[in-house]
Parts: sequence; structure tokens; C-alpha cells
Amino acid sequence: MANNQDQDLVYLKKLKGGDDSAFRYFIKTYQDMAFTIAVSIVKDDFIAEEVAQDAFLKAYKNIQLFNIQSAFKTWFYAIVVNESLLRFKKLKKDFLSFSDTYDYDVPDNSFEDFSCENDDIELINSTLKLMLPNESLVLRLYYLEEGSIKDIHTITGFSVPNVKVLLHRARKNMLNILQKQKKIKLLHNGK
Amino acid sequence: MENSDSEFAKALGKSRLKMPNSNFEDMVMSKIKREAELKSILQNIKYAFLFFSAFFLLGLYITTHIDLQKAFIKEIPHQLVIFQALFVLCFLMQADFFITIIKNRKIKQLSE
Repeated sequence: MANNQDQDLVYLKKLKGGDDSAFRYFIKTYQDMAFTIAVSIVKDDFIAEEVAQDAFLKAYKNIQLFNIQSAFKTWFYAIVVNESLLRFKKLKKDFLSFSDTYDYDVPDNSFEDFSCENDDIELINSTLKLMLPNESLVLRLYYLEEGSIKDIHTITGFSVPNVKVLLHRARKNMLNILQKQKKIKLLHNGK
Repeated sequence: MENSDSEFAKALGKSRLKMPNSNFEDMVMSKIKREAELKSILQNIKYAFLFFSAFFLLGLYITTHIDLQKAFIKEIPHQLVIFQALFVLCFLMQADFFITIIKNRKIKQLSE
């Protein structure tokens, strides 16, 4: 992690010195995560790719304003989140009308039964796509980037207590949708 | 509980998506290159506009500062008429050039 940050610093210095090709390193390193964050919010691969592109362009334009002492990753992810939310508002899509109901019927101890096999990655990703944008975003930032709650607060702008509540609720909701998805999968396989 | 939570973390740790477009890196870099080019064009236009305004004011000053009321039309120096005609011609040409640039959508977007 620290190694990555050191490398970021080297390329940031190059970039600030006028070497535009140094930006290629940032695209290479952060494109997948930018896409993942964007998908968590906009829920569409094609739009998410556009959002990631816009975020990289915005980062490039504002690189001179970036404080070299801070973590590039956090700063860049905040840009991706902002761009995604802007696009999401533009789309004005009403995601998942069933979200109100799936929140309540999962007991707190449901984590105890949780197990996931390797071939369930697709299932997990489709489940995350079905979740509310802020919930899937918080989950991915927390587990994928091993981010602290403070980092998530910096990236998303949600308050620290809100992040904690969101995380808890998101885990419950995810398990619920995952169980339903698994049942559907089993039914399909049974046929 | 802890065990299942780590299982949960392990599962979510695999939810990182791959950028579907393999050309993404080149696409962004070419956009950045284009952006830089447009930026330098915009910079040149700004300088052009600045000089245009400065020399327009200078031209106006020269043509109006000469006291014509004291002289009869016939006595106006030949060079002055040529200068004024050239000034008007240059002004019209440059004004047309600037209107075309201002109307250019790409440059409009960039300046926003």
C-alpha cells in the first residue's frame, strides 16, 4: 500500500513537472477501481466507462491543485464518486422499487451462515448491481480497498456515523438479495 | 461471527470489476492530448484577442486624434485616407475572424 503511494508520488512529481505521459501510470493503476466505483453508482457498464473517462480527465485538469502530501487514491476516488453522482442525477433513474422491503427481514446474525464459493463472483457483482448506489459503493470501498471509515467519509462526503450505519445496512441487504439470487439460481438449475 | 465476516470480506474482495474496454488507457491519453492542444489554441486566441483590442484602440486613437476640423477635406493628407481605409479593412476582417471563433462550439465548450 505504502509502496503504491510512493510510486504515486514519483509519477505525480513527473506530471506536475509537465510530463503528461506520466498520467498513463495513473490510468493503468486506477482504471479498474474507477470503473468499479462508477458501476456501483450508475449501475450500467457503458455509462460507468464514460464516467471513469470523465473522472480521469477532471483529475488531469486539476492535478496542479492537488496537494502532493495527500493520498492521490482518496482524492481521485472522490472525483469518481462526484462524477458518478452527477451522472446518476442526470439519469434520474428510479432504482429498485423493492429496496424498501428487503431491508427488514434479515436478522442480524445472518453473517454466521455466510459462505461464498469462488464461482459466486458473478452472483456477488450482480447482487451489488441490484443494491442501492450508496450501499454498494460503501461496501466496495470498505472491502475492496480495505479503506477505513474515515477514508470512506473523505471520499463520499457521508458523515462517519452515516458510513457506519450504511455499512451495517448494506451488509444485511446484500445478504438478503444474495440469498434470493441463490434461490433463483437453484430453481433455474433444478429445471 | 468473525469467521463469517471475514468470509464476507473475502467474497467482496473479489468484486473488483475489470475495465471492459482494453483501449481505455489510449482513449483517455488521446483525449488528454487533444485537450492540451485545444488549450494551447485557446491561449493563442486569447493573445490574438488581446492584441486585436489593443491595436483597435490604438487605431481609433490615431484616426480620431488628428484634428480634422482644422483641415479642409481636400487638404487631408493622402496617407491618412489610406491608413483609415486599411484600418477599417483590417478591423472588418479580424472582427469576422473573431465572430467565427466565438461561434465555434468546441472552443466554446473548452472555455466553459
